[in-house]
Amino acid sequence: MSNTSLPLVPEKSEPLPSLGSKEGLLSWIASVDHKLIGIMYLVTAGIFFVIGGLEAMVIRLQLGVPANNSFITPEIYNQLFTMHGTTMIFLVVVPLMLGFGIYFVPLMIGARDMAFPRLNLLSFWLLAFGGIFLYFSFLAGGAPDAGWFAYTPLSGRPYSLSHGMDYWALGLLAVGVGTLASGINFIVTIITRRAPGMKFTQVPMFVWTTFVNSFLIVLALPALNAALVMLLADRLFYANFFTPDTGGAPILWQHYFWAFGHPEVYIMILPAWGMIAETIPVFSRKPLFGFAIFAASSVAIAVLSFAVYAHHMFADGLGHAFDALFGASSELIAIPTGIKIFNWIATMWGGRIRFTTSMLFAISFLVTFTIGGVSGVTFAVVPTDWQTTDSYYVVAHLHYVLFGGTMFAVFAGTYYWFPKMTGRMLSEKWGKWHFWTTFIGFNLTFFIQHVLGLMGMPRRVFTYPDYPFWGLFNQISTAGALLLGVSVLIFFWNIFISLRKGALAGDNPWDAWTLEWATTSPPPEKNFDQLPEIKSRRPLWDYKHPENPDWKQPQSGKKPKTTSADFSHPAQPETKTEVKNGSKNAVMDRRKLGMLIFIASEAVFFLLLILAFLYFRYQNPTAQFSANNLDTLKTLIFTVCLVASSVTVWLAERSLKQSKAGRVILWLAATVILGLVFLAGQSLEYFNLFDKNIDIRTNTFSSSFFTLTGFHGLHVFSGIVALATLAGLGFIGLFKRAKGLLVLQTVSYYWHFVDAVWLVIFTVVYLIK
Amino acid sequence: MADLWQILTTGWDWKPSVLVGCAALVFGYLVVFKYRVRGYWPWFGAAVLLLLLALVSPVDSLGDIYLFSAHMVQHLLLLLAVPLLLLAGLPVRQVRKYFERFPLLARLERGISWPPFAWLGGIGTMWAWHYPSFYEAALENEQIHIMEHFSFLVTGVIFWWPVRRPLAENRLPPLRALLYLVSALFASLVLGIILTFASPDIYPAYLSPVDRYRVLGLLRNGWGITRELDQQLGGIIMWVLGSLFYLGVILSTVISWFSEVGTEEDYQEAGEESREVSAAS
Ligand code: HEM
Ligand SMILES: [Cu+2]
Repeated sequence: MSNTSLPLVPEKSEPLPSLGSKEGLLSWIASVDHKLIGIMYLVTAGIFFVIGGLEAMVIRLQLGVPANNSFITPEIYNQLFTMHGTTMIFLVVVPLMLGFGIYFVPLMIGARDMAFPRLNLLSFWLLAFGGIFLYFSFLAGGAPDAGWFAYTPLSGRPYSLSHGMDYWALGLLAVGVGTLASGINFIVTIITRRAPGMKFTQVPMFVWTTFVNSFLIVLALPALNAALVMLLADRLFYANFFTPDTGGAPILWQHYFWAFGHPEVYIMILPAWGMIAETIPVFSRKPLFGFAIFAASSVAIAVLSFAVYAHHMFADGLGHAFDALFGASSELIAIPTGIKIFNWIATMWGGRIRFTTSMLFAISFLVTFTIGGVSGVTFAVVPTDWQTTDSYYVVAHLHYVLFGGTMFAVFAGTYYWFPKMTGRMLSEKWGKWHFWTTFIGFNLTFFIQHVLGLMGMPRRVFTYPDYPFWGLFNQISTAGALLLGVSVLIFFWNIFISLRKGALAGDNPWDAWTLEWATTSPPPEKNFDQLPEIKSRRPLWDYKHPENPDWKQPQSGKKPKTTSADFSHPAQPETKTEVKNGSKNAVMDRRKLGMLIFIASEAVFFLLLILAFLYFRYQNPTAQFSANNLDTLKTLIFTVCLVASSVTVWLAERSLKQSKAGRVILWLAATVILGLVFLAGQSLEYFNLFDKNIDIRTNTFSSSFFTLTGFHGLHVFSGIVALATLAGLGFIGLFKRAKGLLVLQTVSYYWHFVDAVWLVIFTVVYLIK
Repeated sequence: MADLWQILTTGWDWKPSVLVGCAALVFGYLVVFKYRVRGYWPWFGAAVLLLLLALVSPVDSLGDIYLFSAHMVQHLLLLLAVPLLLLAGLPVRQVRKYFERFPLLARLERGISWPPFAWLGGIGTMWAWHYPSFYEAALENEQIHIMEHFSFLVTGVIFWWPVRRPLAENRLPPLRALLYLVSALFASLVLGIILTFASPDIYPAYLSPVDRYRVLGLLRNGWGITRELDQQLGGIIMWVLGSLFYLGVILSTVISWFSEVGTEEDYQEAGEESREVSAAS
């Protein structure tokens, strides 16, 4: 095999646009370049990290001495821990995961940009806007104060009088929609934008974990959105979802929140695992051990996370069957997690380890994350959970997994990738200081909290009595927190000084193997001039070692094996078609694919609203009296109109295929009209109910009915807008261009989906009694 | 312990229809494949044993009369486990020969393996039979019950077909297979959630069962499986155990996908393509 790939010519490295000039500023805030957007994500997350960190400092200072009634009030304390948790989770950790992904996924798969660059920018601004909105609440009469999981009824109107919770819900909706858009963007990018020759199974592990993570995002975020929508309906429109005195069910909030919240904790760790899986191999000079197992265990965790969310609700008294099965299945998560740890250790085993700062963070990640995993397993034992829930033991657990896990991985990733992003190395000297202060400060702060929790110190209470050792242990924790604060200062100082004086990085300072290192640092606007041949997971290794490339020796010397569930069938070259998919990347148009994923997400959203409707039907049959006022016959007629509109869209599509552009517009117009008729019918139904004094406030039935159908109506409306826009564009020749059909098909997917949802709603609400 | 023993021993109901069916299945298998089933028959055997277990053991009797949760175990066995094992028991070479010899059969095979059809078939059957009036009808009428179980087996096989059909080269490519399986997992998970939170009277037959095996007191009072608990348990079994089953298949798909080491030719092909593109750009 001769190696004919072209040499990698370094292009003149463009420094990042400076903020000084006007064009520089514009190229930051309006650029659709994934690299700039990625950095903006990271910087925004960094800013919120400082804010959230300061809030934590105040919390720790308040807890520094027992029976402290003079520093901050309980009200402020509640706002602080709520904002601290919300900030760290939604505005720091998730954006960090997304930011690194947005910057590096395209580079690692040899693409020029994300699949939807403008959507990417929109995601960012939704994040920034949501974050600012959330913080605006401080000025608007009080920040949210019901904890980051905002349990009802505490977060409901009667108990949270300020507008804080409204800001919380609206802000998170914005951030959540942005995150969702990024998830869709990642999936489409990774499926359609891989470099020629790169098979799906050859993407770096960070890309794979981001891919899996994106599915978590797409399927879990709608649960949060549904919950938030219901909470807002309660708070703003006096609906009855979560208000016990009017038949509502606070427990429903917990189900929805954790159906989102538990996947969310994996949204916050999966890409971090990917980062560790990039750095440990490079600094051990060995490929990742057990790539396939690692990939599969990521999938396992993602899937399991939906099935076991209820382990956050052991203290609710849901019943023994519930507790036992969810406890046991939660324990299962420890298996794939343990496998990963084993993978990393086996990768280091016998490797030539370079103890760079990045590697130090990666290694300490293994230690601290494992501790967090172990305390997690203790929670999954229900009786233990009953003893430790809502105590500082939980606080210790979640910080060991999120700080000792995700943040350590982020630091490892930062030291690893900073040279690529800026062209300069971060100082190793300051890096070592940063590492040791972080490591010591972190363990000092949080390890002792395990003990405090076991001694019974509850979380989320602004002070504590002066029991033996409580004061001392809390002082240790506060001292550790101060040290952590210092470590963050050192980190920012390191960035500041290295940006100016850091050693020049060159293309590939770590002698790494994945594609992002095959271009200059920082990469040019188009990312790559040339790509090396991609025949294995380590293209740069192959490039440098033509005599001994990865693809000549089967990975880790093993023969391909069929796994047990493949039973005894001989292994067939299943990949053949995949190679074609992978290399030609012509799987599907990016718009259509993106729309399908969006539809999947929307389907979950509606599913949850429908389930809420059914739930109230089971739980509160008396409210069903209102249901007798529904007008089934009339609605059936309008339903037929909506179904007919699906047919007309299809006819429009057919006319376009026969290239009759004029007819397309006609059929589209017909669709729009049918859609409007449906909306009119829907309004009739609403007025009919209003006449009988039934509105969203009346009872649980009416709350869920109006929310469900209202949101569906909103979707019909946006579908109508999209169709009308299409028809308008048709007049200026959209359907004469090749793109026309794809756009029309994309919109018609959405329309069919909206109609299908209505059929389900109609069946559930009107037909099943 | 003695109670458990009592249930385990008395609960067997050797229904002739089941026995005849299983015997016919084994006989047909051997004849059709002309006894050339080495390496495959253990899977097939396991499938038949599991089938027997699901249909004549106490799982069946309990599920029929007393416990929704036992019935859910039975359904998972019939819909997921048994069909998957049956497929694994098909000797690839013989099957291939049949498809070559009878083009019509091959056409049929391609038809049923159209993923949306197979998916809807499998998931639709699962959902439909849990609709209260259908479910009740099956409990009341043995004929309908047999039909229910038979339809589980058939649609179960069809469901697994696109991802586990004997001719592996025709299976769905891995990414699509994953989509297929994960979406199925979610569909069954949602059913599980609905059943878990459903009110205990959606399946009235279990409220006051005819105590044929005289174990009702034991179940309800001795073991404390009230109707409410039973409903929850059944739902959770669907929710958690069902998910775990799909998850197993999903994992095996991912692992074998990522462990494939392509042939030398694959690599050459890939290399050439990337050269072409870089030359063109
Ligand atoms: C071995 C795996 C794990 C298990 C079995 C596990 C189990 C649990 C359980 C049962 C709880 C509820 C405790 C309670 O409130 O009483 C909990 C809380 C929590 N876990 Fe984990 N966990 C694991 C790993 C993780 C990971 C990897 C993360 C994040 C990256 C995480 C983040 C959290 C958070 C944020 C909470 C606190 C939620 C709150 O109440 O505010 N856990 N964990
Ligand atoms: Cu959890």
